[in-house]
Amino acid sequence: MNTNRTSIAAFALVGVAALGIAADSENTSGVAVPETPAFDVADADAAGKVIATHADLYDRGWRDEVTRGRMTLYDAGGDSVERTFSRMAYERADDGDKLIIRFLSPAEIKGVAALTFENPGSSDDNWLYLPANKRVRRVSGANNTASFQGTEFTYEDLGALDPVEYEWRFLGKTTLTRGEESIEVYKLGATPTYSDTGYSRLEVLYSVDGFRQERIDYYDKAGKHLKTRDSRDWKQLHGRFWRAFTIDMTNHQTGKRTLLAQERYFLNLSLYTSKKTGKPRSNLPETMFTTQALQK
Amino acid sequence: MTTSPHRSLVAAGVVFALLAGSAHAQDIDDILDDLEADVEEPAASRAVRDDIGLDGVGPDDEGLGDLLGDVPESAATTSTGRTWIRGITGFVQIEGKRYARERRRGRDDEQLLISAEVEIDLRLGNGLTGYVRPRLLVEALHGELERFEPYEAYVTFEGDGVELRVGQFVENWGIVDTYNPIDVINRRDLGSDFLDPDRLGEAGVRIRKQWAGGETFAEPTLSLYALPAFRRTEFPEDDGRFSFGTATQPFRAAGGFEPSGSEGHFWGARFQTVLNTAAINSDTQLVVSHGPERTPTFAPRRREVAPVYYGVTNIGAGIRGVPNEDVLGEFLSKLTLKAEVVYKDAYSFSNAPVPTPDDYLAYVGGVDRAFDRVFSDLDQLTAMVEVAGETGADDAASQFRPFKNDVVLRLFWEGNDFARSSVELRALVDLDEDERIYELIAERTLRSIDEDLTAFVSAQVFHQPDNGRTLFDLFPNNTSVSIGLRWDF
Repeated sequence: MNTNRTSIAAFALVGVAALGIAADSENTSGVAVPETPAFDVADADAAGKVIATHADLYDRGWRDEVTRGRMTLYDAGGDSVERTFSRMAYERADDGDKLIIRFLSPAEIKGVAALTFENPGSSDDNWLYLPANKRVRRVSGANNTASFQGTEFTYEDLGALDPVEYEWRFLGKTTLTRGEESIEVYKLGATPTYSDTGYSRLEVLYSVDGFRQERIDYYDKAGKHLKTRDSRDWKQLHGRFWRAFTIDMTNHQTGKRTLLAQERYFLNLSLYTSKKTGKPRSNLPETMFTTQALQK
Repeated sequence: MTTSPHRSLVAAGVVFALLAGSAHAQDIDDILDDLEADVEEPAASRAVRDDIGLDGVGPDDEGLGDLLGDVPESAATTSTGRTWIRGITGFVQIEGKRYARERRRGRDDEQLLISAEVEIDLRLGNGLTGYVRPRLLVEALHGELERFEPYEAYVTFEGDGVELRVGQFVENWGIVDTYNPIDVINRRDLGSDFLDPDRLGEAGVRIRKQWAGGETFAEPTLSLYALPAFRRTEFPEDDGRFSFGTATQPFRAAGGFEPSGSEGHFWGARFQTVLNTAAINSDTQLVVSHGPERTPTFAPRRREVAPVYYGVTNIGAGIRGVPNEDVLGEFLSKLTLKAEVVYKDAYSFSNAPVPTPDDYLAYVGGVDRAFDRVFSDLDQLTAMVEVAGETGADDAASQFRPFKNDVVLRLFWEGNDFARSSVELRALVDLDEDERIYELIAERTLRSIDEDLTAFVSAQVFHQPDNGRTLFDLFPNNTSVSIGLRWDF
């Protein structure tokens, strides 16, 4: 028997209460948790891919998302500006997701919106709407590495990590300490396989239970540590899907930070009942994620 | 037989009735407002929380509990249901403009331009929304300009994939950045800015139907337009720097030859789709229109210069796309390719005293390339090259059309800093004549005073051939510098 062989399931029952995260005990989403595959850490590449693929699969079935949040940008000296934004996402079962991010304040940036179609295995489609000239503009892959409206997030960072767009490697199982919180995590290395990227590699920490993407460390093309994306204040919505209510992106080379704090989070709208009608809501139609809808 | 404007509207209504399903307003604000106002906690989650006593878990933490019954502050209740202002935005701007050369000895040409624009979004209920965008523009030193334009004022009814818009609206059919030969629907306010004139609203009806589409032809959308009322283009007054008049022959916008009756109707159709192919993913459109050309020709009439309107059937296409790396390589995949082409088939109105302009083909093609981290860790520089031209016309009117054989170079730098600094440089070069125009626009918010207060500096430099063979050479040299403040709200 290979003593390195283990099962993700073996780590899956770590008490979430001990980690300071919030969870319903019952899955009311109607989406079952996928069976956890086994992996052999002796084959680090295969193990990494299994974990990353399972983490992606684990988070499938949420259908749609509507959030509203606050974005605070800090410079190295501690000066800051604040913006509010909304975000809508549409899950496509066998394809990349679609999402719209729109700024709500301050007035100078209000209405600026971005639409992204994630294309697994190839460049994403990106559009930008600028209310000043009331035009939707398709932007090229060269924009992928550019800052999204002055934040520490690039267009590349807006979407989810697609497992097919990286070469994965299992780097070990470790403990992530965040204040008094200790979280068992898998540490994976990820090398982008697409060209329009600003990164040479990533290090991704997935929680052993729930496969939450707790932290991502980004390395620039020269291999130097560039940024850390720290996701915290996790909540399990509908007893099934984990969502971080705070995402902290820190640039280690410039000392700048962008802090996203979600204030409203609606996941799978069909699970909510409207007071107006007394009936379950409909999910967002895919037609809301179009270049026409971006202008509204 | 003549067709009345009413008949056009009725026809549009019939088409809409055939296409539309049930009322079904859907946009981001609707969803957020609706969710925040009316969402109930899912029954199953509530039961779980009650049973196990998990405070701080479930919908309250999703931000729902504290929003029950919440209605936007601007909400108002009417007898027919809730009507509210979904948003008010706009700006107030003051701009001082100084010209490098006075037109006549002793003539004070400096301008102080004060403008304000308000955008009001209304939710009228049951799939009906409204939008109003008036603008006020006043030249405060000499009273050269006084504009109060309801740029846009319309209501939109949204059905299941179908939208009906009635009122005055602005449509931007353009694909490229500087000159849009395909963008033929709206008149321009040539009196307020000759180089980048504002679009003026057109009154009429737009019906839009969007289908689900497939992988190759995504988001197919058909828009039909009926604009029954002819309206004159705005031109500079006689004391304006771009006046078409002279001391002996003043210009009179109202004194020209205009279409009458059904000749003034404008019909248009626009088909748009996101076209995904192995080589390129693009936003593509085809347009067809028939009606009065928005920019007329000119002719002497009695002792004046007067506009002479004529009709045009436009058939055009536009594309803006990004090449796919797998097929066309990494270099091309970094570019955004764009092109517009339109064939213009002119016809005269019944009272036109001058020959019909020649038919011609106008085109623009170009590329954009973005570069990031040029001067700082967050900035971005977009470089643009566009080539514009036309072919097929040899009449007198064509001689003074801009962009007959021109190159446009543009650099747009965005600092992406807290002050949202930006600098835009643009050069327009006429390849046939020795005519060049250079532009600079720099902006930066004054955060220390107010985060929505922006200071800007702009300059336009005209280099004219002095041979009277180009459009801008008809006017005095308009090289100018502007400085101003804009407050967004």
